[in-house]
Amino acid sequence: MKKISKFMFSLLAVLLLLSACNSDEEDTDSGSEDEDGVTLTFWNRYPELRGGFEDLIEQFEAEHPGINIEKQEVPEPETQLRTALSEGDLPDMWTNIVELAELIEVDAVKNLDEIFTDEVKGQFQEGTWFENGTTADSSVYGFPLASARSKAMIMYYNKDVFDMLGLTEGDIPQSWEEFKELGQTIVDDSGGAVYPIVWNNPGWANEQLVSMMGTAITPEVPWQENYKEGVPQVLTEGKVESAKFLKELLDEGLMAPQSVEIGLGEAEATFSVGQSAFLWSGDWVGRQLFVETEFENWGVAPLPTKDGNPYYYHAGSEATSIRVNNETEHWEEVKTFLEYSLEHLHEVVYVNTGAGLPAKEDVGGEPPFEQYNDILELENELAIPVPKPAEFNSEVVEFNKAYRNKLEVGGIGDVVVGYITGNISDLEAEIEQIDQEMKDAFFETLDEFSEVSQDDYIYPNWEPFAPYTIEKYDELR
Amino acid sequence: MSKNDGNGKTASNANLKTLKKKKAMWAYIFLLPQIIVFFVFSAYPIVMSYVYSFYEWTGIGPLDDFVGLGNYQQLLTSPRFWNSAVVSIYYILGTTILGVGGALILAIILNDQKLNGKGFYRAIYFLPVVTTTAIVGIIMGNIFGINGFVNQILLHANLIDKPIPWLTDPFLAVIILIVIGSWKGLGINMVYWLAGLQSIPNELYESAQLDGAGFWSTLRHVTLPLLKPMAAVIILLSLVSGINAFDLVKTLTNGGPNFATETMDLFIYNFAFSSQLGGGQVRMGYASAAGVLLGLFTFVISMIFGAASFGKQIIKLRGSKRRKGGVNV
Repeated sequence: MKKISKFMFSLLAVLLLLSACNSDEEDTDSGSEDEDGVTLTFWNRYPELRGGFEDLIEQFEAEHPGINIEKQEVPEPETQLRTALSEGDLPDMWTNIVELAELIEVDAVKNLDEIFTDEVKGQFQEGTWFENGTTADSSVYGFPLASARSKAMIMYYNKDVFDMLGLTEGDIPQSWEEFKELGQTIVDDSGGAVYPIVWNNPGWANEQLVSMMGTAITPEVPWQENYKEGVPQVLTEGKVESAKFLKELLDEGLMAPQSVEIGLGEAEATFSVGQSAFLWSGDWVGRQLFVETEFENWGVAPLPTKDGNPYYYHAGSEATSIRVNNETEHWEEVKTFLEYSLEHLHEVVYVNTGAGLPAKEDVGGEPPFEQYNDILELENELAIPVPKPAEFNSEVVEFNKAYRNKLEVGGIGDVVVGYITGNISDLEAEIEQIDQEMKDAFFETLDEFSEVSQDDYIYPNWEPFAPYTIEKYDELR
Repeated sequence: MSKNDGNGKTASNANLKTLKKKKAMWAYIFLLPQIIVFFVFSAYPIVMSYVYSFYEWTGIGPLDDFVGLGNYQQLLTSPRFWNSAVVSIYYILGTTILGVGGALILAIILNDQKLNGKGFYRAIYFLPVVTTTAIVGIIMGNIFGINGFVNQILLHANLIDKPIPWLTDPFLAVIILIVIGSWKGLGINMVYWLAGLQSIPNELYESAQLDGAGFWSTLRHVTLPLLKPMAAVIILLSLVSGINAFDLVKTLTNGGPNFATETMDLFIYNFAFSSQLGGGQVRMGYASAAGVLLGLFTFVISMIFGAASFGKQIIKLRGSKRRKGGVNV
């Protein structure tokens, strides 16, 4: 009996030891140290930055022999980061995934004020520093990557198709009517071999597109809020008409039928092989076309809108940035990498690869394709800063979280997909339902938050299409 | 003599008890790793998911926002949640009817002694079982896509004028999910049925043959009645495995269009990990509440089916034990 007890005790001890060794091993995911020096771990979620980061890391490692950077691409970024966070297994650095406020609440992200002095911050474009994006309580928590004035959707056109059908840049449509007319010509002249447009089906992409096209009709609602009335609003004439336009294109055979079931990658491929004359997407697609599909003969133009009126996108919608693990054991090495990145990243990762617009001003570099500057020009024109209630009252960050927790769906993108595919007949009614749910949740949450009022969402000194600057907030205080 | 005998008996009884204890101890020692694994990876997460379901929690940070039954209330009034439950039920019933029934037919054919190349056919039908479901989903997406293989064939054969939206029409998409899910599980169900068929003694078939029974009467009066106990197990396994449709649905339709093919497990995933497909926020507490309801749903299905299929046998067993004066079950 005693022997058995001893054996059991030893077995338990071995198991405990093994499990302890195992957790030790897991904890080392946030960097390690060996004879070759320190290895930092870095997770990237942006496919368009993959190549640029590889170049940057190669250059950095050549200049800093004692520091290695192990980059990992994360295809399911939110799932992977949350799992790592709950296991205490975060990498040393990662490109932004989970909302900043949530990370700060659990002390998971490092304050970068040591690197970003006022002088350094001044080297970045206006709109780069904003609450719950790159900063919290005016302290910096994110190394800015892309410009706040980016991510607006634009129209790519295939010059091979244009040449084949005898079209010129003068034929590029500006209004929906013109688009349909040209589309019919493309279908007729190509004998049905070329579709005017190829689109893609994720809900977020559909919401972005109809929201942007919709601002040409309802400019007071740039995304999901009406900053004149201070209420959430997704039911707008602009969004509804834009969704209807998409359905008309599909029903009339002017949109590639597979658009309703493919992702952006497949849409890019369809466009590149000349099966569609146009592709709508963001600024990052230029690099994808050039590198991934090796297609160079394309140009860019603004999206067509109902009457050819201008449209815009709310700048700073996403704080594309690098965040640092607050528990990193190699802060000095991480700091060395970030300081190196301050000098080189925006040039190497953005300009030299054409992946998009960098957040830093006056960056050198050589864009790999000539259309890069055209994209840059369009983005600067289309991505316009709008009021950000969190800048006016930081309590709004918590409020928004509580308000959104009451919602069943995050927006109207999936309804738009349902409508285009013919599964929803009364689009207005569906959007109105979401709109009403948002308003109900908003006012219910207002009652629960004494520090936030509807006034935090009303901006009488804002005019759509006019950039909303920091001084404008001060006018209202 | 009797004293010695008595002592001897007592000593041997004591030895027997020690031996039994030792045996039991060894059994516990060998069970210990599995028990630890069970508590760490099964029992603990299950218990914690009940705890999380009473909180508004993103999966990060302390549990400090107790909402009581709030998550359950919101779920039970959510049309999206109920839709996912209905889709799951369709999928479970569809894959059970098609998968279990189809596998039985296949097993009967492949159990024929005279059939050549049985091993080859069995391997072919079993192949989908060992293929990764996510890969099956992606490949089937290409086959049933608007420009996919199936539509191309139908168009070339002039059977249709325009492509059929297999994956974007909710009704058709659910049918496709059921067909592929059934096909994927066909092999394993076939193996179960074959095991059942091969356990039926040959003498019974020979007697039936001597009595002049043909194929159909043998099937009806010999094979199917003897397969009943096996059928109950296979159907139960199929029902329960139908609840886990996540990988196939995620890769084939991703729950679209407009959540029309979202199953309960995908609903849970979307709220637990994907802010884009949830309400704009990750809500681990809400997803946990949905997980608890899914667990209850599975339990109820198993109980209903268990009662329906094993109830009669239990009653019979009770009756026979009572007649024999045995202990009631």
